Amino acid sequence: MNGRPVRRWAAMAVALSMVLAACADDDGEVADDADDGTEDTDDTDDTDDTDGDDSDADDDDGDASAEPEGDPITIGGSLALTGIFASTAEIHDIVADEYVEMLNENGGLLGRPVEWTVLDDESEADQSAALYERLITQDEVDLVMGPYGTGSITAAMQVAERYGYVFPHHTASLTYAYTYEKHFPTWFVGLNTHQTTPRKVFEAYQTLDDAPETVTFVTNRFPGTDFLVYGVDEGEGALEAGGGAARVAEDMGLEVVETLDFDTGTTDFSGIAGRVAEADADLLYVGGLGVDGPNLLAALEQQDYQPRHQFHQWPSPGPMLAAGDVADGATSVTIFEPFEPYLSNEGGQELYERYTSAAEEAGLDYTNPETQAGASWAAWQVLTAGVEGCECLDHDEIADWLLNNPIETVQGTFEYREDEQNYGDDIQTIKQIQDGEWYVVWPDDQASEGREMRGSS
Amino acid sequence: MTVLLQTLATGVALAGLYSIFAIGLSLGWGLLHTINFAHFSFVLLSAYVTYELSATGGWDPLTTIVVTVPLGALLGLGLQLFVTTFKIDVFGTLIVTFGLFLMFEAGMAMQWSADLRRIPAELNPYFTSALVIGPIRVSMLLAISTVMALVTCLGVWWLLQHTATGRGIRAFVQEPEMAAAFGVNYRSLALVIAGIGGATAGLTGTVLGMYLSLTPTIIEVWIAVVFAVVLLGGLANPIGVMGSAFVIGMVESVTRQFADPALARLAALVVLIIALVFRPEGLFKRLVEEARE
Repeated sequence: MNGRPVRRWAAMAVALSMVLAACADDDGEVADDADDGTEDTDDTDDTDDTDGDDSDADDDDGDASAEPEGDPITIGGSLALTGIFASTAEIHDIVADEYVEMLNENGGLLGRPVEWTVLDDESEADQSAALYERLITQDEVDLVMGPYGTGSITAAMQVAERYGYVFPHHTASLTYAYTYEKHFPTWFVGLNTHQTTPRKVFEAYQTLDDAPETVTFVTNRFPGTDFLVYGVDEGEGALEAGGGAARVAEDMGLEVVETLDFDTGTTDFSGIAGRVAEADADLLYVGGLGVDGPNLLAALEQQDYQPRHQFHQWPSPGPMLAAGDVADGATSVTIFEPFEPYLSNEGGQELYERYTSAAEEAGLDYTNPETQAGASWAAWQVLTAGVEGCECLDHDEIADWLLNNPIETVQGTFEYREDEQNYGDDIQTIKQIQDGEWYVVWPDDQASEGREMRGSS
Repeated sequence: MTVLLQTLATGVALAGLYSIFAIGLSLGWGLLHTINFAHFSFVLLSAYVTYELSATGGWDPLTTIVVTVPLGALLGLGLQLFVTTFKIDVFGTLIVTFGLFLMFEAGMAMQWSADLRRIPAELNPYFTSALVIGPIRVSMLLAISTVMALVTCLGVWWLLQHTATGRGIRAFVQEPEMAAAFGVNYRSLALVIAGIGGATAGLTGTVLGMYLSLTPTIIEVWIAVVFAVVLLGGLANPIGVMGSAFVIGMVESVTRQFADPALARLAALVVLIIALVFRPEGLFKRLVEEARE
């Protein structure tokens, strides 16, 4: 082989690898050529009568134990069944199957059976948009459920808006970006989450005897975590300008001693860990997601450094627990955990029992329902509450009902506010790893029994 | 001074991981004319095997190399037999192995699901432990991979330079007809190289199985940097692979320590582009071209 072909192959390989890498790093989207698999869940035959269903958001639909009859109500959506987001999307897949099964076991929706069709968007936003176009225009589904992941939700919402569909969604993180009047978020963190979330975290830490006075930020440049740590320079719509944990910290009197950013997909945290240890702040604030936290903690342990206090934005709960002693005392925010007071919320017990069983069957490592499952279940509760509330499938009427009625969910009561882009109060609580398990520890009146926020050990 | 030494040590350790990952790909591309995209799948499959044996079988994860190395070698041999049997050209190997890559990804998703898989901390002491030399601390896993890389790369270099197998392979790549006339059995020798390349994938997989939370797509974040190491290193040049891995590891380490850590990977790829503009053949020469001179 002479030099020219080598260079040609080299250029091709570099181009191919860079395209893949760029896709993987760009908001987590991967050019994955996996099949456009579809997964049709037809639970309409599964009509065993059971006892009354307490978890239905609205039970005024007559006899809940009656077998559903008539043409099925079709609900469609996409999920990242393959690709970089698949590990988390699997949670939403399980929740959807369980919720639809539960609906059909308890009389269906408006007395009709429910048919749920999920398509694989391969963790790609453009693919997700194309699939919602297909679901609405070709499959002519009656209702849609949002996909998983900020990028896919944002893209699919535009399609829903084009056709006027009610669009419940569970995990979008860029609150300010959603102005569609019929979108209904169930990651119920409030429009100004870049202000309220960090304020909540720092207020919780201020209750400690050894409250932190200095803070180091380590932030994934993923849009959602970037928004929460650095806020926005200009307000958009009803969004307040400013905010972000870094600015909120200073406003609340904490000294920011170091801010370090890293790219999505970073696996080596040695250098960052060294700088965190060198800064030695009272509080380590990790604006990361997934396994960023556990990976950073492992690197810190290699440095023989234990953070005195540590907060993680959206960690995978299982890997955080598996990180061992170095994660003890770590905090995060949550909207659902498998204990009181959440289990007493509408559908909390059903979610816990059904999800745990299904997750075990699916072979998931961490089988407790928490924020992701809670957001997902609530999205289904919102959709069915709207349909049962207006007793119709008309999207304008469903949206109108949702905007004018409180909705009981596993997270608590939702009240959507039009003047806040259909967000409401920030209802997150603070959870903490204590004795090798997650517990809700703040605010006090929502803390798990016998638990309170702990300081450094 | 300590910070500088620490940065240097981290860069060297990263280079070890990149070297062991890239050497098999470089050998296959440079000597067998196989751009083996499935190398990444072999690595990930080995990582899952390490996970499985450790998490469910209770093995010390490092000892799983007794399974992953032969497994990788077999996969390498199988691919080489396939390529030889069907006479697939170099461009064809890129397409075929990319297809294999996707098939492996789907297969691993079916077997282990998309859920995160990580060896529990109590079974994987290497993940959180460090090699301590005075004030310098280096990840034990990266240190292990550096030793593996040194042994492997120097071993392959010695094989290619100082054994009949190596001379035969180089002669065939340089002048196939002449080599065949002198009795060089390329098919057999190619299997040796393919087996070695696959074995390095097994080794790498064991390291990554201890290092990462596994998902069927996690390997994609390594593609760019590994190809960068291969191209900068000069094809099939084990010393070049170590050299280019050192350059890239050092650029990343220095960027993470003294600049914005988020720019570390970008900085490494910028170095690759600049280097290829001025030296399209890579920072180091191809081993076979050295033989030609």
